Amino acid sequence: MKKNKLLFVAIFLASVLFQIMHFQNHDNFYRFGFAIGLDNNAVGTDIALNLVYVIAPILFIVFYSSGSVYDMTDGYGKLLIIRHYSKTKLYLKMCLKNLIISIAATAIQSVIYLCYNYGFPDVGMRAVNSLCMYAFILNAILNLQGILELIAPPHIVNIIVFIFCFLSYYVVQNLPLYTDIMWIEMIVKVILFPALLFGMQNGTVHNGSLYTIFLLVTLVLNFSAISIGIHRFKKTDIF
Amino acid sequence: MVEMKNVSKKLSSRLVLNNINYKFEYGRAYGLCGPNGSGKTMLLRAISGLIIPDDGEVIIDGKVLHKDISFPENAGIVIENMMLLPQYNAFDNLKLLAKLKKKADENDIHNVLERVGLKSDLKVRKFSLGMKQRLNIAQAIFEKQNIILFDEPTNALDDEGVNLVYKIVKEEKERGALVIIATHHEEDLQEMCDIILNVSEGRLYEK
Repeated sequence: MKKNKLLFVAIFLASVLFQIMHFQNHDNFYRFGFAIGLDNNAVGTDIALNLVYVIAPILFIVFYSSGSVYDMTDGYGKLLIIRHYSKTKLYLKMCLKNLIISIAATAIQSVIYLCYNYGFPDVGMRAVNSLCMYAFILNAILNLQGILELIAPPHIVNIIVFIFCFLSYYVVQNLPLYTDIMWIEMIVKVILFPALLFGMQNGTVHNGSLYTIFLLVTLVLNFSAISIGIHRFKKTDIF
Repeated sequence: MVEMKNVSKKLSSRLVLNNINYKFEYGRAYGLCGPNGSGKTMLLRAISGLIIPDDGEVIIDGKVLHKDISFPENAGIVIENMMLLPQYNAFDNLKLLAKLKKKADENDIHNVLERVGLKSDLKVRKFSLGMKQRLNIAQAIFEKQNIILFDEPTNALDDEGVNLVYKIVKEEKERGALVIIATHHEEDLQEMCDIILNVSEGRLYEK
């Protein structure tokens, strides 16, 4: 699928620039702030302003990886499928590409952080955990995008996924959650799973056992998305 | 033989194929004629296995499509949005596709490029529309496919290109392949086909 190169470069530069600005202007208590998100006490303008630096890279990644399913159903994919190339294999290849994109995006943002940290910080287990979770949730978002592209055009899916990510983070950050009814909080976060990109929401920062549960949920989300995608792709008409 | 039995397909509540019954035989060229949106391309897609009919069966050499086999054993298709890889030249594109079924070697690729009059080393992204169409035709025939499905094969071609398509259809038919061509240019069909069929509102009529 052809993408607007100018828009592509603009989103990439904007996302890098926002992150650099954030690291320069904030004395981050947490390592790798892009994967930690905002403190639970953050309110109003804090949230609005800081959404940009955590959400802009997601916009870029979602835009970058969009159209993969379209290429399989309406583009080059049909030349392969007509030559008996397995639809399952084709879909799995796309999922592998999504995984590589997720890991690369996490690595690039980490490098930006390290560059502006002027040296390699003492990376603790929590930072590693939050980076792992960031990559897995990114992957789940891309896999969700893959399923949606089987039923709607890529540009519409792009917009839906991005709004979902934005709303998830905004809602979870603002929701008055009660710690005594943990299971409600967990269900809301699982439904709005893009909010789990951030350590402040997935338990990395404050609650190790919560992190383990969410990590398992993330793995289940990814496997479910891939299975549903393959099943649906096999029954999809190729145009 | 390719047999269509009561094949119907609905897309967004519109019947694009309506109870199609027909037998296509090898060694013959069939023309599908009809206005835009009449169902010609859908019929080609149904035979190639790219779309799954809601009702009926497509039977290829005794095997039911989507039951016994997922796709025809050896079919070539020219259809809109073929999108060959723009970063490679024509030869490399065909070489990549040849790796999938291993039915064609480098000689076959050179031969087919000569047959479609494409000797350029340019990358596909620099191709004109006509050159892209010639390459599309090449990919549909270079593995000596026995079912060849052409959707508007003369689109974007100059007179020399159109004559090449006529020649290719004749040669493929003589080789024993079944060729089905969909176009709204009836004069092209009269030049190339043994049998011309009319497609209208998803139905197939013999002329």
